[in-house]
Amino acid sequence: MTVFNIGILALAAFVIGRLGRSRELALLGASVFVVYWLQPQQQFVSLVYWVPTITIALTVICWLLVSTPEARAWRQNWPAVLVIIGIMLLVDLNQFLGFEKIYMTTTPRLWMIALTLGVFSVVSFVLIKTPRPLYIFSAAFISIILLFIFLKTPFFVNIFFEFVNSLSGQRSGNPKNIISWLGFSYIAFRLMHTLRDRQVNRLPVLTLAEYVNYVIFFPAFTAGPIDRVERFVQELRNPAALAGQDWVEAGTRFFVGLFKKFIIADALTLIALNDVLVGQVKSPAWMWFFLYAYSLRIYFDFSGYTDIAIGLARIMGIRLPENFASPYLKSNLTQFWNSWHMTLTQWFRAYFFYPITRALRTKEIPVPLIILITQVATMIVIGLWHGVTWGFVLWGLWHGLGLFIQNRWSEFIRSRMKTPLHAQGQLLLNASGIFLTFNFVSLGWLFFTLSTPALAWQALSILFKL
Amino acid sequence: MKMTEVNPLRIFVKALLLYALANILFAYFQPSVGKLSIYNWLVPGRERLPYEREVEYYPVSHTIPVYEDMDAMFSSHIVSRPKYADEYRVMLVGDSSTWAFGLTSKENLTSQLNLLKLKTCNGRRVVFYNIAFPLPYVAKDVLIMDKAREYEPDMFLWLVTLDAFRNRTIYTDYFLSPYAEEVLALVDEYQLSNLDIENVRTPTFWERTIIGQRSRLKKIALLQLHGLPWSATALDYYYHDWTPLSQDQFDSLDSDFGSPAEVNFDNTLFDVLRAGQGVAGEAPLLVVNEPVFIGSGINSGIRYNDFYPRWVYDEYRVYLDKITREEKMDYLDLWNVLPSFEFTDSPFHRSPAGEKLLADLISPQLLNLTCSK
Repeated sequence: MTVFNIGILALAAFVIGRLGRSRELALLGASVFVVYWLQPQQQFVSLVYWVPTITIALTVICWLLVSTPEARAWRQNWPAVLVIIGIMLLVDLNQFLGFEKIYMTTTPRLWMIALTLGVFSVVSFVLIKTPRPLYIFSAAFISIILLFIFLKTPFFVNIFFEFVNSLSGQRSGNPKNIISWLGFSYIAFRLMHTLRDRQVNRLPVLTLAEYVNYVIFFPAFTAGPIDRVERFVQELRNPAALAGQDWVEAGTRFFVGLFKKFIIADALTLIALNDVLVGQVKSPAWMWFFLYAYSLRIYFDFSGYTDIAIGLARIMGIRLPENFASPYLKSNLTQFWNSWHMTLTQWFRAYFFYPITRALRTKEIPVPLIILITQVATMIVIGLWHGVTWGFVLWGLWHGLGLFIQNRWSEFIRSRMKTPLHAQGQLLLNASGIFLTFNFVSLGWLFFTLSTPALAWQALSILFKL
Repeated sequence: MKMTEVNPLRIFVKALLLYALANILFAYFQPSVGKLSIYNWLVPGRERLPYEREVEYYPVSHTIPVYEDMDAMFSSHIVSRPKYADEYRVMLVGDSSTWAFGLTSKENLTSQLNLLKLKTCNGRRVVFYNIAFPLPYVAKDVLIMDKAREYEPDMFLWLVTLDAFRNRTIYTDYFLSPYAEEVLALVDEYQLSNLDIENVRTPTFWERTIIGQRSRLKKIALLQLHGLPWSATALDYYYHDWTPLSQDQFDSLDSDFGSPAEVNFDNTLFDVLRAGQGVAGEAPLLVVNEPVFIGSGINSGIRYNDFYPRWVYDEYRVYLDKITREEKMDYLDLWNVLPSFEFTDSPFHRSPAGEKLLADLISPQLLNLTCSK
């Protein structure tokens, strides 16, 4: 996203926040538009149309699955249907309307739009008319995971591209085929969250507008935070009227986010460790410097986007959950993960860590082994969420083992420390904890950011003169 | 304590007014932001002016060209460090061959000259600085020389080739336009009638504001950041693989300088040489016609290389010799001193050994000049 994009979004947020009853539909229209507007260029031009269209379709299909018959009543949903289809047609037909300067210049052919509407109508009709046993939610949940694995695994994407190329009689020749599906990681989490909550009857009754607004809420569409649906809908239904101080807070958050992202993070990009620098730098001191620069860059970049999202939502009277709480100032790894991308870790805690912990506790497995398995498995899955590569697996393993060792160490110390430390001793302990944690996390970024484990090893060799 | 009610509109208006004021002050005083530099104190100065052809290679070569701000370019260069008492400063001006495409800053002509550890006849250490910029355009060279006077040059070594004397509007717009005042002053002082200055105009007030100058200011800031990886890697250029030049030439007598029957140098920039000598002032100026690749394969009878048909290049050498004599300029014609295998990816770019050979050939005349003036 550029500053220009964000400026337009801020203007939209300001206008939407001032609307009365039409606010929800205006937000829906803006969010649907943003899904199309922000999609990057694709290797296959037609994906510029298909990716956002499938995003919207997937969202609506999930709503049809999880909603109750009362929530699906046409009387209360027809305006949302109209807005969604209206915006989709508006952007897809822009070649005939002359909006190329506002939106993309490559537009779908008419048969693609007709096919989309046709298939979507049939699927919707079938979903509305057929009963839905509980396993259908599990099936949908697993389908989203499979789609996720497909998109994040270069091997599968390459096969896909080769297949499509073979249909058109072309050779791909591009070893790095990717499908840029903007926001899918976050959308997938929200969809899975609603499917799972519907399965266990925890999901509130949601209209189409509320559901789609939750899944593709434009401030949080690309980089989170991942809100919980019941909380978000409460905010949506009861938006806070902004007083003077609220405006200052919202504006400050927004501008701090812009500063973090576009000044600090973008500047740090030039000096943050990357594949090229690993090949060029020979001095350990400089290697540490560039590694720290990367650690700071990823923090300012990500937390900057979060601040922008929170600020934009606040302008509309909606409070989004916090995602970062000074993670690099935490004195151990558990605290770090409780303050880094908090909504993601909460999601994994709720839907992965706790269920497998509960499952393992039913068996006769020693507690330390359960902790080891659950921590490592959770962190590897979080790693794989970023992409199915060995680098992300190693990054997850690094943190999983780190969390386990820290857990065991804390237990060990707690059982031996009879009296609390002096204030100065505690201060020293905290400072060394912060130092160790920051360095541990920074070293972990090697596996995360460098394209191959071999490069990560090369960087480690230089850092420690191995 | 009584809490005052916050009025966001007032904050917004105040911020807007402050920003407007900052813009107006900036436009009025035009501070030399480019002189603020981390180079030569926090990180080592660069050995060449910052340049990279492709935007995608900026992060690989740890550089960004800031051609709009000569102060920033010079401040990032080692030439802006204080001059030693026993130092005799020779500045090399020219195009990509002098800047040294394809060579590290340790392999180029400047480094080869420094390796000779020359001393003037009165015992001063001759230190060479590469202030070339990779555009074949003599008007740009004079502008750089004009700026370089701030850095106490004792001599200029100016490497030229025929291609650099072509009048190119695109280069004027690219490199000269940001220095409208200086360029117009040079045109006026040296009567540079051939230089196309149609698009060179002094910036408006709005163009001088922070908003108007945002691109330049951003580049200056980025150049400072690039200084850190530059310091760590000593790399300032992305070293591409290259294909050796073919000995064979294509079959054409075409040239921008008239026809074989009648050579035409009317619309060229040879008058800029006079401006160069004037700008150099008291500092001696040695003009060198730089070596070019001479092919020996098919069609080499009608062309020396891709750039030059024989008829035009031979005429150019005669013409340049005549002008430098008329203007009483110190001149060396080294066009054919290098064997063809000492050229790399273009008829002008040389190998490290070629640079060494050239340094050996230039140094005697250069030393003569340090003693004679």
